Amino acid sequence: MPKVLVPTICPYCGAGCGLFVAVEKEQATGIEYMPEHPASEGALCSKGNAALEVLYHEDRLQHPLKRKGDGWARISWDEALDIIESNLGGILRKYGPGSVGFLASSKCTNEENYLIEKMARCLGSKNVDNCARLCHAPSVVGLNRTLGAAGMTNPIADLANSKCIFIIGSNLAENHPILTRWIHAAKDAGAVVIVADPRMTHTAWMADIFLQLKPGTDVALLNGMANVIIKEGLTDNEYITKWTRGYEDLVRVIKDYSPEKAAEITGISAGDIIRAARAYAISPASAILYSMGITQHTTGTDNVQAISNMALITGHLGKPGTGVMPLRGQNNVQGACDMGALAEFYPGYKRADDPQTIKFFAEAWGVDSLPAGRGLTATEMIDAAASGEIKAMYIIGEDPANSDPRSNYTRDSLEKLDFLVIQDIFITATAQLADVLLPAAAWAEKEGSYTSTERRVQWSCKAIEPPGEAKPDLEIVCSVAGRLGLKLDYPDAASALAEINRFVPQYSGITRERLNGFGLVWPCPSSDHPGTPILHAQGFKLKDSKAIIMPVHYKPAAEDVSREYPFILTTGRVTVHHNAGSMTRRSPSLMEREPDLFVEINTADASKLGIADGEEVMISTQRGKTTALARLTDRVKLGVVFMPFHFPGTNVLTADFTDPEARIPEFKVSACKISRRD
Amino acid sequence: MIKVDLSKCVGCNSCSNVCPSQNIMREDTADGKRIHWKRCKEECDLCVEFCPAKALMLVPFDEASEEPDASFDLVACKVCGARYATEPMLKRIESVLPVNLQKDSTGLSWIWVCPICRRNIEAERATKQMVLGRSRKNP
Amino acid sequence: MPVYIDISRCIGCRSCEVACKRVHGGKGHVNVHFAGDQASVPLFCHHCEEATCTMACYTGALSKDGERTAFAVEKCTGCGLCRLACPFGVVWTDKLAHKCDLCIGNEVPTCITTCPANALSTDFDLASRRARTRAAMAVAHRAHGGRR
Repeated sequence: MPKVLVPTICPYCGAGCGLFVAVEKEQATGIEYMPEHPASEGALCSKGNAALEVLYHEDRLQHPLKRKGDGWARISWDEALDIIESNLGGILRKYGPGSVGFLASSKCTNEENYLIEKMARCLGSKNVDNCARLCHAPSVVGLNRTLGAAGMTNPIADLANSKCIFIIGSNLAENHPILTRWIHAAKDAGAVVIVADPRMTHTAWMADIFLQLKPGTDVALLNGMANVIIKEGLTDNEYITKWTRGYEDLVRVIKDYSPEKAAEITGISAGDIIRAARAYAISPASAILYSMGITQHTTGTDNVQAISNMALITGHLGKPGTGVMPLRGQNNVQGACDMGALAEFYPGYKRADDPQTIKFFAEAWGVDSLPAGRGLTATEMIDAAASGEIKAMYIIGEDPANSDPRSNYTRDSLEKLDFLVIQDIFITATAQLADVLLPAAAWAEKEGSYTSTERRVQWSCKAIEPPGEAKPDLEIVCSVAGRLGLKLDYPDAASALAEINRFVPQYSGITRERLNGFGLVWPCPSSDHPGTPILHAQGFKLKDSKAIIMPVHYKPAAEDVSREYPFILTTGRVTVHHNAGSMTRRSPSLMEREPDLFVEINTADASKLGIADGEEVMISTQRGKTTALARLTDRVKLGVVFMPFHFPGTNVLTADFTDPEARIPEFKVSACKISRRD
Repeated sequence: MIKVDLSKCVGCNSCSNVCPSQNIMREDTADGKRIHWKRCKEECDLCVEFCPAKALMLVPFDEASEEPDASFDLVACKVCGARYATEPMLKRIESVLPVNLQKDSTGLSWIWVCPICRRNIEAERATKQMVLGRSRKNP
Repeated sequence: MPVYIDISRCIGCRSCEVACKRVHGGKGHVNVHFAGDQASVPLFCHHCEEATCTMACYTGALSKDGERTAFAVEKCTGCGLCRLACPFGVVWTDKLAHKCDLCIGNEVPTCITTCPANALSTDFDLASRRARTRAAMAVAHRAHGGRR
């Protein structure tokens, strides 16, 4: 029997590694590596290697289901669509489009996300968003403002050309493992690696300078470093004059952030702050990599802007080995944002509150009117569900009951909805609350394009049929839209991509024909354009081609420790699991390596509390309590504890204090108390 | 049927694995091992052929003779105390390896350590320099 | 010629473990060990020159084939002697024995290709060459300074 190797893109993180799914007799029987892939060179982390375990899992949703008592009744697609037409349609008619919320999926293809936001807006609703709200919303808002574009500015492989790599708020060794091959290559060529993280992670193993800061003090650190750079004359004045505006404001603000002051706030020594600042500034090519440790704060947007400032005053942009690199978590969160599945942006980052945007898309989509202005974000939709402003939601490939902060409140809010449709591959915690469940195809069971964190748009091919009656999300969305009175007529993903080519300038030249091979990097404005691996090489897509330096002040995190809650709880990930865990917690190879929810406690702290390694403990915050197994370690400092959010329970503890602009919750800082279970 | 020279049996898994008719029962517990050879009329001699200690032989079927039975205590690992092997098996390993085999300075004493501890020791050796270097940077 | 590890690059992601298990029908021969919170290293067959497992194996299932310690599963009786004879604990028995076979039949062993950090190689000198280059670069940088 001939074995066919079908090229796909890994469904897990934003690194965008390619892998072949081996298909024999219509079954996915194995994986083959892709050694020519420009970002991974054929490498694949433990999650990618276990990816097939998701496809044939017995929990896969295979048929549409409707709620029946405490359980489910199997129904036909026709009946499911009837129920949606009557309920969702009914609510739209009775209460207006503002009463419905749509969550697109950062695991779905670009084509699917484009159609989801098109559907929402053509139905008159502004309320469409995706899980970027929980992860890189500050990057989307902050970097679009300061640099005119939000995405990794340089390619992953380009890290090998860097002479100083500054990793802050990112545990990329565990979450974007293939980046480490390029960082090590850079180290072999003499690069200095600086890692700033409250925990000594596997990423910190690569560090020449390790800055173990207190959670939530990133602006103080970055301002302190900028202070050193400006004071010691290490700025690139030519670059500042030519390509930026706002430098004088920064100089004024930064006066308050001496290294000593920064040391006091962050808990890092002034000497280390100075060393790190000098290393970053004087190297011929420096790159800053960052992720949730920077964004998931009430000061997330400020944190991102502080990073952007560092790069702008030292001119480390627009050249090989430099860059500002937000590391996107999901395989297609970059694409979901590019496609405008966001409350404040239409496709291509056209602002929803700009009349020009409305005019453009109304014409493009052939409709009389479209909703203008920012809609409710994913986090606000939960509040709106609680208050009754939102009466129905259509959630695709997203698990807010586990991913959003304050799980108990989130669950209660979703339960208040009159009607909830979930479209997913498994019955997640959120799906447990649904009225109707629609079975969707997994990555290897459909085709479409995905945009990785380095802005690389790649086509993933269909390897096998979806199980039972599950369908590709594209097909489902078109059917649902049809029942709600829209005509979304797209026979395949390629036809949707053709429309994206017409209406999203960054994707104009990224046509289906050109997407064989390893894809193209946007912006790609025409069909003969080679793509743009390095952004900002000739200035910025802003007024006068100048980037904006936005000085920011340090503000402490929303919640501080108290006598009752004396520990800082911070959250994060481990390599073998992914996000809310609906896929990885169903993969035996991965579960056997990290089966339980744990809490990292500093050894001395644990000893004071009489907690032994492996013991079950109770962690409580103002929001709720959770049990976990204690893991004693010196990887966290005194007073700080860490829990991975792949298991239900961690987000019961976190708070929904959000960044005022980006509306991202402050997952990274909560005040908690810990005690032995008994 | 099978006759066993119990002084030679090392308590390995060969005969119970190779017997095609499940005539040889093996019971593995946390700290011991028991092998029981049932009376058999089979004409094969796989167990005899594949016994590493040449402890088995075939004799004419005799309803009256007792079914042989062997019991072994598992030896405790010198490091962690887990019971991991029969003493005759470990002694046999000792006897087939050259006495001057160089793994490290401990000669052949690693034989009396269980495979899990052997891996831990090897991991510690392999990462020693790295751990030292990294902990110097971040004390 | 076994697979060599550049320990400075191991990030403890366990991709080698999962991949090895996947391509060998559920029986993997790699075990990643963590040295506290400071380091990690995958452990697998060294393909020793003086392979003690081959000395203990009485059926000839384990033998030396050039630099490789070869295993012929059809000759294995599952006795368990090889597992006890390996000084590094990297021969496993699960009814029959199994250990690293250098993915014979593949051009490159699976663990080498899959390792995200590019920490594995059949080039025994690679890790020390890289370390020497790093050291030389560090000296050169100190001499020349940055770009100023």
